[in-house]
Amino acid sequence: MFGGKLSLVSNKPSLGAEVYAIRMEGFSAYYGENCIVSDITLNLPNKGVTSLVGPSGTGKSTILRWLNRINEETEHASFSGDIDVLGRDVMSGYPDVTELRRRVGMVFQQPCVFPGSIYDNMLIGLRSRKLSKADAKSVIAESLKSASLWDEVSHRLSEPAAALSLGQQQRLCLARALVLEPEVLLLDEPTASIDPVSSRAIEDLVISLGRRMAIVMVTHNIGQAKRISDHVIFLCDGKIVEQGSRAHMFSMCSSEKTRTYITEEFCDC
Amino acid sequence: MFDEFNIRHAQERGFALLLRASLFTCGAILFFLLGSIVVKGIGALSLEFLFMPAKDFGRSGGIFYQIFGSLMMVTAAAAIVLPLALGTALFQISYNSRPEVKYLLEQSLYALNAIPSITYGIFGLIVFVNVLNTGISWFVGSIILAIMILPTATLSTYQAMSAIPKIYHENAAALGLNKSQIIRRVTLPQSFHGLVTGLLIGLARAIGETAPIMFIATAFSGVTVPQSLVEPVSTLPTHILELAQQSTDPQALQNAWGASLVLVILVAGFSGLALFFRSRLISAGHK
Repeated sequence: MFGGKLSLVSNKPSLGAEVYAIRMEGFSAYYGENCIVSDITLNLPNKGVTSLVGPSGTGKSTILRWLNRINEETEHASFSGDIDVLGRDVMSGYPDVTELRRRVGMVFQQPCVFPGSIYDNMLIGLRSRKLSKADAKSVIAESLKSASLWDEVSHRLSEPAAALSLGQQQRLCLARALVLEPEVLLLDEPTASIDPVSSRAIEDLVISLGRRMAIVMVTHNIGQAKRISDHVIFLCDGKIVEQGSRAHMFSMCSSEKTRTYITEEFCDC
Repeated sequence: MFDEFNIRHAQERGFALLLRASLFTCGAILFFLLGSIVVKGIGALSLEFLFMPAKDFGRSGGIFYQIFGSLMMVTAAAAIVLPLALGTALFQISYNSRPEVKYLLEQSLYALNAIPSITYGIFGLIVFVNVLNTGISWFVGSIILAIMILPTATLSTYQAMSAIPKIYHENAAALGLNKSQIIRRVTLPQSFHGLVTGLLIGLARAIGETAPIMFIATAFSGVTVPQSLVEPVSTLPTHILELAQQSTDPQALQNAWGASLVLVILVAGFSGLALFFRSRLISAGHK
């Protein structure tokens, strides 16, 4: 079992080649003695949008938070089993966790901008790339365009980021993650706290980003999962009930539980 | 039903009256205290009083070197306490992962904060003057004042750091920032107001203290600007103490009130600065 501390000693071979961005085998996660998810096995391709759906408290975010080891920051969090991210074991393959986090970006549920200007926010993660000022400006502009925010902020990059609307702040968070050119993007309910218009803008963005990188998204919104996912994983009570392509999950799912959840957004497990 | 309403109404009015009486009592005490100092001290205030050295054991002349000595000691204390308070608070927040050690350290700081100031004076006398043989030194006095205000400054910084939502740290970590980068870019900009506030409140307390420094750092008369670290200074509180001991002399008493008023203005100045920086730095930290 891995706790908050990094285990550097491991001769365990990688689970698979980079055709899969993420592979989990026998993964279980704990907070103290409580098992939150158990025996999860999944393979996520290196392109496309995968949605984790299921009732609250079923461990979706916990899975996400171990993929870039952000859960190491949480007291008493630990896991057992194997996780491979981009062909390397998530613990022993990334002795420097900051490398993992630069390759696996993450956007959280609540928009969170740092004190400072919009430009400062974009620059905060970029400093590790040691770009010239001109290159940094160009990368920042590209990321803001990717996040569909450039037209709205290009004339006021020096203004406080906190002055943006919540929807804009969330797109700034997305742009801030994209500036590092991650290969995997983790989205933890990214539209949960923003208005429907901004939410739809982010959905469009996720669809287009999914064509060039692996995106893993936690969502409670079944309609959203249906609109933007290539793959869907349904979790209940800390276990995977069913997983498959969007077509499979929304048209011909085999589990009665999945069918009930997809149609009624209710689960009695 | 009607009676029950009336009883509840009367209870509410009684409670509000009690709160008003508490507020009035506090206000009256403060008004009486400050009013007495202002009324009795204002007569002594003049440019000569503020900028001339004391003569005849304070009965005539001014309090220039006492103001200078007080400010010099608290400035040195601030310089000593700033890195220590910041370091301790950062250790608690970012590096101390053991909850029991965190709790112990926090409680120790609260306990230190409650220690009577004379105890610090005795500690300074034994350790510095008797054991280390420093003699009467203004710098030793500053060290003792720094130790005395360290808990206030540390706790204020620690509380400001604790108030930063965890989501900021997680967002920064998710962008590949390491611990020291998170401290520089997230923790410090959003908690610096706590350090400045704690420091200034601590200094406001320190500048008015007599007990911790009277045995180790100050002389009652005949001192000017110290030429080395191990010379004494005169401070406002010790000067007031000396003048109060000559209270049978009306001129000495008048000067004691005048010096008290200057001391109150300095303390109020530090407290006002703390409020000013707090509001400025909080809004800057969130922009």
